[in-house]
Amino acid sequence: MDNFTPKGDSTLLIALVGNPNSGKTSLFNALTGLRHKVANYPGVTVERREGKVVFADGVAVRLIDLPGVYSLLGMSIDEGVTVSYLTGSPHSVASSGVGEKPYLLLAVVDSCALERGLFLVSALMDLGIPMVVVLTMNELAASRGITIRPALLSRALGIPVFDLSLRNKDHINMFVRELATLTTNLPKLLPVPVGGSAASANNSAVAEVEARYKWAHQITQQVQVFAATEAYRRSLKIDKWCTHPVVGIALFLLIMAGLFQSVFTFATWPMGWIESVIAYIARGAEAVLPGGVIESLVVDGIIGGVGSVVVFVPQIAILFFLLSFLEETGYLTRAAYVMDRVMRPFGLQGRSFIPLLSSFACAIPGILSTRTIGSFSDRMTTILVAPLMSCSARLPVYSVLIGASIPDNYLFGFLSVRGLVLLGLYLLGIVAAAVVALVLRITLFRGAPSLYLMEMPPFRLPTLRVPYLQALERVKVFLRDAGTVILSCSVILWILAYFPSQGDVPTSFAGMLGKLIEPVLAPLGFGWEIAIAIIGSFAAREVFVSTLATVYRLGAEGDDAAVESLTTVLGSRMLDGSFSLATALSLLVFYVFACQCFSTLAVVRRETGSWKWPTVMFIYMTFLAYVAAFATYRLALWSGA
Amino acid sequence: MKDTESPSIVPLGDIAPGSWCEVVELDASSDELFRALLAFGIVVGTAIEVRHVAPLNDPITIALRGFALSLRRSEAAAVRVKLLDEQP
Repeated sequence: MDNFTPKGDSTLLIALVGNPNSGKTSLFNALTGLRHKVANYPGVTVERREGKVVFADGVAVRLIDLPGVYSLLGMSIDEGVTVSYLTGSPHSVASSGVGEKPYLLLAVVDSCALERGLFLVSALMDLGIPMVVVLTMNELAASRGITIRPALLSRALGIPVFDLSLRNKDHINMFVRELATLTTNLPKLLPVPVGGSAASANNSAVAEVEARYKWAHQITQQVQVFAATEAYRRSLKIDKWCTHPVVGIALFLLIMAGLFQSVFTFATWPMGWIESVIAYIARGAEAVLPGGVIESLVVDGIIGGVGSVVVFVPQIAILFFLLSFLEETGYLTRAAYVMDRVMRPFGLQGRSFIPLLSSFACAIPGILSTRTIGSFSDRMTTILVAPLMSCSARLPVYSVLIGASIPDNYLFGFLSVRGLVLLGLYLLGIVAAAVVALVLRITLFRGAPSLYLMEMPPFRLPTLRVPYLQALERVKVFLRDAGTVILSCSVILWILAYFPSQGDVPTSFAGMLGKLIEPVLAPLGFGWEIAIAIIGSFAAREVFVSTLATVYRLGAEGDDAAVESLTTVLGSRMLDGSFSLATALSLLVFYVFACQCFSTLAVVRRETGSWKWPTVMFIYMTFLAYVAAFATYRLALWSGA
Repeated sequence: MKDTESPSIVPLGDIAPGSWCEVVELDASSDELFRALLAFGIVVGTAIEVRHVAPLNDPITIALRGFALSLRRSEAAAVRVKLLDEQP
């Protein structure tokens, strides 16, 4: 049976395999360009990252990017997916449509870790699948003093070896041309098995590993020369400083503080600009449209609703950009290393650090990246507390409420009180996460095992390209959500708030619904308008802002006047007493804890395979939100707010 | 019958940063840990350099086979090594 030509009219399937951090995904992006299904959440290789490569003659092949693996032993869920995909064995929980084996493997090997890469290659060569090797990171390797001879390596392996610089367009184009030729003669690429599995006939995984590493070591000695450079020694020194007891911790705090400070400082100007553009559009619409229903729908509902959320694009873009940049430098692994000892008493571990940090941008990629955590209890704990890391969707809510209710004062002349309150909210989430994790550890997950063992990739100065692409991807997703979910919610809420009372909100459908729920929320200091907004924000937290904007705009007097931002509107309500500081604080605390993201719950369900854990998450967070908001409101009233 | 000339066999975590050592035996009692060590090429005879220790004295970073790895002391305890006088 010929395994080398696609059956029927299915296109050829090529799989990218390699160690984590070996440049696999960058190669995938370079080869597929825009022709790939973008996983919505950047930074994580989801199992079905599939794209198309089109050759010069118009023939297309499918390319799939498999999760990184160090070996075919299947040490985590991610690894299990790749192993089951390649060997066709039901190795893992994830069902990724196993059954279609690839016709060609592109084994991606990081030039900086050749021996380890070749260890994996030896196992891949025994699979009986045509294969070529792609060496990546050659600039980084060169800067560290590593030189590899691809021709020698190719001769030693018996299959083609490509040395690619991913930043070089010509290299990529040449590689694609080569691929086109290679795919016409796949049997030639079938490697001679290394035979490591012969050793495992003794029933010993150890013997097999020893044999493979011996083989990898021999070949590495033949084809690689290493002479430590100044750059190499410098990166070792930087590593020492980053993990130094005093300097390392200080640096860590500085970087984290800087990260969040930058998000707010750098975003201020672009946000102001976007705000004025939206106001301009709104004024234009007001001038052009006939008064009444249509004008209200467009100005109050659509522009007001969507506009109040779109203004936060700069903050989201900057946060994702900086996080991605930090990750690319390799610093985040050092942060995880430093943090491991601190996180352990809470039933978390060093590896939880990156998912939790990512959750400050969005809990969904954070939760997806917990796949690298092998230990079930560590992973579940991380997943359950991830939403307590205040995500970027809460930023609009925080910003608006703080801007409206906290005075623009400065402690000691330079510390913004508003900034401190914002910091306080983030810290509140972190402290709560620590407590919840601790509770989980001494109850549900008592005594569960945990494995840390983690690779420390070399430091590098990244290009700005990858972080830029990550930020761009995320902004696109955000705008797409704004264009769909938030827009439809804004319209629906506008409809509910406008009818049947021609714009008199208290007597509209929404108003009635809000009044119905009000008794439950009154102890927290929430009135019916806020009740409506909270209901709306279950679709997406940002909807809170757009709903409130719509509701208040409809309720504002003289709304033919200049369109004001929600902050201003709330601010004036504070002055006239209809919106108190106590309520604002209570609302802020409510949003730190409230589980208001169906997408997150859906992802948790998918990752854990049942509704049990999302339910646990929803219940505990709602409970926390209610109790904390209540306590905040009472405390604020008692202290005279 | 200890030969006073040969270095003693200690857990990996006991080796001071900056020193090289060689793996003498592996503790296979934890299957998960053992497979992870294997996957990274930590087998008998492997030469390891201890690079540094985290601020709270745990975990530690080691270098082997051209790359770096960090592991907890409790995990390193499964790797028993003998100190080498110099980098092999």
